[in-house]
Amino acid sequence: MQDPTPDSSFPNSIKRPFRLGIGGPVGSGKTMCVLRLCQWLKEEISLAVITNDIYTREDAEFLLRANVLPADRVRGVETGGCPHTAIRDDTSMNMAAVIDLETHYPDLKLILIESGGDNLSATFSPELVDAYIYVIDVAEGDKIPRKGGPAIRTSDLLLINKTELAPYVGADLEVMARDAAIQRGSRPFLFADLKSEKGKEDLMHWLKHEYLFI
Amino acid sequence: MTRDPMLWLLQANDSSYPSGAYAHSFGLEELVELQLVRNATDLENFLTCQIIPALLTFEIPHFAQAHTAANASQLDALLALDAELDAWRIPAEICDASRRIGSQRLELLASLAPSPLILDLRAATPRAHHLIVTALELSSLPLPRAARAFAYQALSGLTSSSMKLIRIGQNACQHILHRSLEKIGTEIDSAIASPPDGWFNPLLEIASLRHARSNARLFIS
Repeated sequence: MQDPTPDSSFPNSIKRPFRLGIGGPVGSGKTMCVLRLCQWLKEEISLAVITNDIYTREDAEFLLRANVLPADRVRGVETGGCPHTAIRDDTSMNMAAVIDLETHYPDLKLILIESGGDNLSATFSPELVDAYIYVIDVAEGDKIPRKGGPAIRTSDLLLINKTELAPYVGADLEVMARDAAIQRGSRPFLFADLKSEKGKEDLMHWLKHEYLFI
Repeated sequence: MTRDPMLWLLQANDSSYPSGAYAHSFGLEELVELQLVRNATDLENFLTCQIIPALLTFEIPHFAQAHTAANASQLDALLALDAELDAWRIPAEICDASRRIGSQRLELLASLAPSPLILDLRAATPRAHHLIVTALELSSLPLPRAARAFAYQALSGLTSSSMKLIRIGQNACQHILHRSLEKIGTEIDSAIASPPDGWFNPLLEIASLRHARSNARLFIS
């Protein structure tokens, strides 16, 4: 029987799986990011997913319908009215799901924790995740990186999604790259179109090279 | 206020009490931007070296005077203290933050538990400083307990803000808050009995002045 007390040792301790947060505004592609990471990694490592939805289990059910992982490896957490709270201020519901997954799957190497859709000030507690990706998309306007905020500036990876839509929504990717670089300094950012799997190599390289070491 | 002062304290000091304080970092955001506060250790040092001394030498002695004036229904004394606080709070952002929170609290207090003194203060200065309003708000409590509640508000507000500004977990924040309360707890009674000293903190004041001109910010102050 595994000790139910979470081991908070970092990074990527052999005692527990690496925990990667995925945050971003509503509709930016967080669930698609989770879906793709599961598809791309599930043959290589043992992984599981926790989704946070404000009112429903929509995201968990989307992943289940996609049949990307066995149902028991996808846990939905309903956060009530404030998704900030569940990933930063009081992470107890997410931690309970983490412990439950770790208990049931001792071989887990990665747990993806998707936040509820939120605004630009959402960040993850470092006690909940070891690193996090912040997903924005070009259709929100190319000014988004310029607006800054803690997630834009300090997330471990800024993922600018849906690049294929840029010509149709008048988003200038060069402007987004320039502003992201100004806001983030040396921290990385990537362009991707997760639906069409563009940017896969860059994203996988970042995750494997920086955190998974596989 | 409720007839039970302890229950009233719990209500007025709860994070759900709409004082607007959550929107202010009182200069901490700029210190983070300047990389003077980067992690849990820096945050604890900031509280220990900047905030607790200010509370003990300046805020709590003034709070004690305001609490005494409130219990004696001395409106003039409260107004004089309010004007003095205004003179001490040099950066406009810090002064405005204190007045914004004070006015929110005063308006709600006047609605929940109107008294002649509360209504007179609101009529004389609807944007009274937070310290003055909190002293009035907690006047039904013995001064040592009210001063502790005030100190708790100040420290917990900063630790809560820090979670949005630096990479720090909620449990780490609680540990820092706990240790900070332990440090200040033994000093509050002597601070109450001391006359107010001036408190000059150029680091925080310059940070507040810079914050007012920052390009993007998460907090009002």
